[in-house]
Amino acid sequence: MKNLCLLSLLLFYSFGFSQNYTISGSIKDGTNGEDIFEGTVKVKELSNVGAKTNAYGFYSLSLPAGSYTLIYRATGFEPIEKSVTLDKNVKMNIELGVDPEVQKLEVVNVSAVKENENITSAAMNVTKFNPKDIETIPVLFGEKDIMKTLQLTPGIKSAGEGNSGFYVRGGGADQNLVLLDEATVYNASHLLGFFSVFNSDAVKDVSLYKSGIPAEYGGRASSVMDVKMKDGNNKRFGASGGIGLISSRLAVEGPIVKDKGAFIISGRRSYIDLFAKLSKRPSIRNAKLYFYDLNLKANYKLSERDRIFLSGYFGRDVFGFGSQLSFDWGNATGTMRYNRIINEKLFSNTSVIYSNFNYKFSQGSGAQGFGVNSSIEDWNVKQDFSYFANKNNTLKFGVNGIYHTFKPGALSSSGSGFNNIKLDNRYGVEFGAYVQNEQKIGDKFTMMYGLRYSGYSMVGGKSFTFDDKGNKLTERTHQKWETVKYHHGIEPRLSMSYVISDRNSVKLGYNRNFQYLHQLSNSTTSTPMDVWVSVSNNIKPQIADQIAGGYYHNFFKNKLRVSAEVYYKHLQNQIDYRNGADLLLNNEIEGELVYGKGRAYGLEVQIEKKKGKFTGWISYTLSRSLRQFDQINQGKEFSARQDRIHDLSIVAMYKVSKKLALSATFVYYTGNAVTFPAGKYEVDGQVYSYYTERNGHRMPDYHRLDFGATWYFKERKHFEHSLNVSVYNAYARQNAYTIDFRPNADTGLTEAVQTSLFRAVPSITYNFKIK
Amino acid sequence: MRVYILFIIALPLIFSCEKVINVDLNEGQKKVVILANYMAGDSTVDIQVSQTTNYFGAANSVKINTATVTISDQNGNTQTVPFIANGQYRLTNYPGTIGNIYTVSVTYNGTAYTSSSTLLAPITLDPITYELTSDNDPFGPSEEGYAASVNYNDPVGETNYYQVYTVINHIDESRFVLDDKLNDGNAVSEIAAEALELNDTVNIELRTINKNIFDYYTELETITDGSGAAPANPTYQWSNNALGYFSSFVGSKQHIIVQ
Repeated sequence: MKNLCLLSLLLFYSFGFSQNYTISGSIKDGTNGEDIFEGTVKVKELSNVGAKTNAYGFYSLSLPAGSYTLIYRATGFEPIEKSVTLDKNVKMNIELGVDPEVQKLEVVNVSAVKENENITSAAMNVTKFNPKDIETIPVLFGEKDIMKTLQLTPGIKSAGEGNSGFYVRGGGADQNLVLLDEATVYNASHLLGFFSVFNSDAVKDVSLYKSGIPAEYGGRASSVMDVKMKDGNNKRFGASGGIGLISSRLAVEGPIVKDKGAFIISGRRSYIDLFAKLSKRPSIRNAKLYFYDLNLKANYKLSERDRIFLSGYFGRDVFGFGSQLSFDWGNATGTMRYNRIINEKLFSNTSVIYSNFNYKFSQGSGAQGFGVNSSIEDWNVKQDFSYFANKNNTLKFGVNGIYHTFKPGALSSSGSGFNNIKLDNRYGVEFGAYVQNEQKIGDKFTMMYGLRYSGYSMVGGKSFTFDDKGNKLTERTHQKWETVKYHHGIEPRLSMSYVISDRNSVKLGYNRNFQYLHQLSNSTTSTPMDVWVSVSNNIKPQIADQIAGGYYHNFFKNKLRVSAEVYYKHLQNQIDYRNGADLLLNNEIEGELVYGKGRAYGLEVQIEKKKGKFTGWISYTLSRSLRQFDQINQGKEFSARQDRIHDLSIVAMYKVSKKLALSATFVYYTGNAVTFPAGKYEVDGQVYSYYTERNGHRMPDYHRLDFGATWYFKERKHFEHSLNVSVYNAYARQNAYTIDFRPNADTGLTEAVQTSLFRAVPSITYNFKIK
Repeated sequence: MRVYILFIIALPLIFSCEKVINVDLNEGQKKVVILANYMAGDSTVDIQVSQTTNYFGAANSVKINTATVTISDQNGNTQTVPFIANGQYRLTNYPGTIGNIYTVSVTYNGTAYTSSSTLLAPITLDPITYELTSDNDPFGPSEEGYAASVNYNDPVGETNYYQVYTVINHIDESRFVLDDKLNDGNAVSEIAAEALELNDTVNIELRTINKNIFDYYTELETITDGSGAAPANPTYQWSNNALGYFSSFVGSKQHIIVQ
C-alpha cells in the first residue's frame, strides 16, 4: 500500500500538475517548405524556457495554463513572435521567412538581444554549416565543398593537399562517422580527395561533433559528421545549377502535392579528362578520369501525423587508360524513413538504411588480364524516439542494428595467367541502444547526458589465430550465424553548459566511443583500395575517451564571438602493420597487424564575426597526437602522422555591395610528422635508405592563400545568377606533397626531391537558380 | 605477380612539379650490411660486407675488409670464406646439396652476425620470348622497343618463391621476386626486360628462393621507399640486426638475342 502511494505520487509528479498543456508543431522554411533542424521556440515571459526542433522540424513544449508570447527563431531567418493562450493542447506550425508583416514586429528589438545561441546551447564543440554560409569561400577548381570548409575550423584538420579525408582532434581519418541522411559513407571523396562526395546543391546542412557526442550516434571513435540532404521545395518548382571549368551540376526540385510532398534530384559530373586530351602522349590522351554524383530525395505527408521520406545517393569515379587499365569506385546509399507524431510529446522515426562502397579494378586482357572486385555493404534498421517530457527535459532514445557484409576481394582472370581467387567474406552484426536527456536546471545550467550500449558480433565465415610473429596457427570455418566473437561496451556521454551571463558561458564534456571497424591504408593519401576490417577474435574495438572544456564570450552585442576549448583524448586498440604488410588480396590480413595506444591533446581558439558587411573567422589550434606500439620505434612513443603542432586558418568575406562579394582564406600548419632516412647503403648495386625512428622528422610547413570574388547579376522575380572567380594558392607556394630520397638519375648522388601539386589554380564558375 | 595498382596513387602527380631541397637529417648509428649469396649451381659463395653512410655523403657505402666470414651446413662442416678485396669475400668449389641448410657467419668488431638458408630444387626455365611493344606505362618514360618475358611452369599445390635475375648485354643487371599466390600451378609469363633493341642479348636466371628472401625483397621495394605511409628497414635477416640478406639457390638459366 505504501509502495502504491509512492508510485502514484511519482506518477503525479512526473506527469506534472495536470494543468500543463503542450504546444507542438513544426518549424519550416516558408519559402520552400524545408524542415528546420534545431530551430528554437522561446517563451518571452519565462527565462530559459523553450524547445528546439528535431531533425524533422518537430518541436513540443509543455507549459502551465496561461497566456504567453512565443519567439520562433532559426539561423538565417528573422525571428517571429506568436501570442498564445494555453487552455488546451495547441498545435502551431510555423513557417519562417514569409509573412513580412508579422516579422516586422519588434524584430530589431528581439534579434538584438538574442543572437547568442552559441552561449546558451548545451551542445559544445559542434560545428554547423549550410551551403549558403560557404557560398563565397574560394576553393580548388571553384567547386564549393562543405567538407573543405569544415577543415578551416578549429580541431578539424585536412589530411593534406587534395585530400577530403580529415582528422578530428588527433584521431585517425577512419575515426570519423560520415553520415548522409543517416547512411554511412565509407569513402567520402572523389578523384582521390580533390572533391568530397557532398554536392552542395543537394545538402541542407551539416553538423560536425568533436566532443560530447550525443548518445544517438555511435560507431566511430573521434567525431560525427552528419550531413542532411534537402527535402525538396514543396511550394513550387525550381532548378539551380552551375557550370565550371572542370565540372557542372544541376538540381531540380518541386512539390509532388503542394505543401504535402516534395522531391529533389541533383546531379553533378566532372570532365577533368578533357585536359588529358591535350597531352602529346597517346596513352594519356586516351585516359578516362571523371566522376559523377546523383542525389535523390522525396518526402510525402500521409496525414498530419505521418510522413515518409526516401533518399538516395549514387556516385562513382571512373579512371582508365584505354583497354590496359580501368578502375572505378563509388558509394551507393539509400534511406527510407517513416515519421510518426504519436502524440503531442512523443515523436517516432523508423529508418531502413542501405549503404555500399565498392571498387572494381581491371588490368590487361587475354592470358595476363585480371580484375579485382571488393565491397562493403551495410543494412541498418533504426528506431528513434524524441520525447518532449516537460519544459525542462527532452529525452531521446532508440535502438539500431546493422548487418555488415565485407567482401574484401575477388580476383577473376580473363585467361590462364592467373587463378581465380576469392577471399572469404566476413559478416558482422553491430547493435546499439541509447537513451539521452537534455535537462535544464534553473536559469543558467543545461546538461545533456546519455548512455549508449553497443556491441559487435562477428558471425560466420572463417577465423584464424596467429602467433606473436603473425604466423597462422589455426583456421576454423564457422556456421552461418555462429558468433565468432562478441565485443561490447557502455559509452557514457555528457555535456554541460553554465551560462555566466548572456555574454559568456562555460561548457564541459566527456564522451567514450567504441569503434568496431578499422581502416587499413598502406599509403599517405586515402585511396579506394584501403581495406576495412571489423573486430574479430584477434582485433579489438577502438576505444576513445575524451574530456573537453570550453569558454565562450561574445563581444559587441554578439557581433564578435570568441571561444577557447581544451581537450584530452585517450585512444585504445589502435592498429598499425608489421614491416612489409601485404594488404592486397590477403585472407589472413589480421596476422599483419600490431596493436597500440594513442593520446591527443590540444587548445583551440576561434574568433568569429557573424554579422555585417565584413564576416569571417580566425581559428588556431595548438595540439599534439601521439602513438605507442611495442613493435614500432623500439616501443617508444612517436608522433602520429597528423601531429601538427600549429594549425591556423583565416577566412574573410566582404560584401562590397549587393552585387559583389569578395573573400579570402589563408591556411598555415606545421608539416606532418614523417619518417626520413638516417643513412644509406647498397643492396645489389642499388642505394636504399636506412631508418632509425618512426615519424622523427617534419614535412616543411604548409601555407596557402586563396582569393574569391562573386558577382551577382541583377535578380529577377524567378531567376538569379552569379559568376564566381577564384584563385587557389594565389602566391603559388610550392607546398610539399611528398619528399622522396633517391639517387639522381644523372649524377648517382643521393638527394631529397620535393614534389608539389598545385601552383596558382584559377577557376571560374557560373551559378544560376530558377525559382 | 607484379601489379600496377599503385599507379592510382600517382594520379595527382599529373599536375605536379618537382625540385631538389635541403633537409636536415638526424644521422643514426652506423649499421653493418651483409649481402650473402650462395650460388650452388656455380659452387660459389659470394659475400659483401659494408656499413651504412651519411645519406648525403658521396659514397653509398663503406666497405669492411676486416671481417671473419664462414659458411657451414647443418652437420657442422665449416669453411672459411676468404677475403678478396674491397669488402668482398668469396669461396669457390663449394658444391651444395638440395635440402641442406647453410649458415653464414660474419664476425666484425667482436660481434657475430649469422643467417641461414635452405637450398631448394630449381624449376626448369622455358625459352625466353619477346615482342614489340609501345608505350604501355602511362606514367613512366615512353618505352618503345622489345619486351622479353621469362616463362616457366609453376608446380601445382606447393608454395613457391622466385627471384628473376636478368642481365642485358652482360652489363645491366636487374632483379625482381615473384610468388605464386595468384597463379599457383599455372604457366607463368612475366616481362623481365623492356625497351630492348635489335641484337641485344638477354640472360635470365630463375632462382627458387626461400620465403624470407621473397619477403625481404618485397619489403625492400615497398617500405624503404620514403613515399609510403611508414617507411622502415626490412625485417632483419641477420642476428644482431645487420642489414642485408643471405640467399642460397640453384639458378635455372636461359639466354636469347633479340633479332
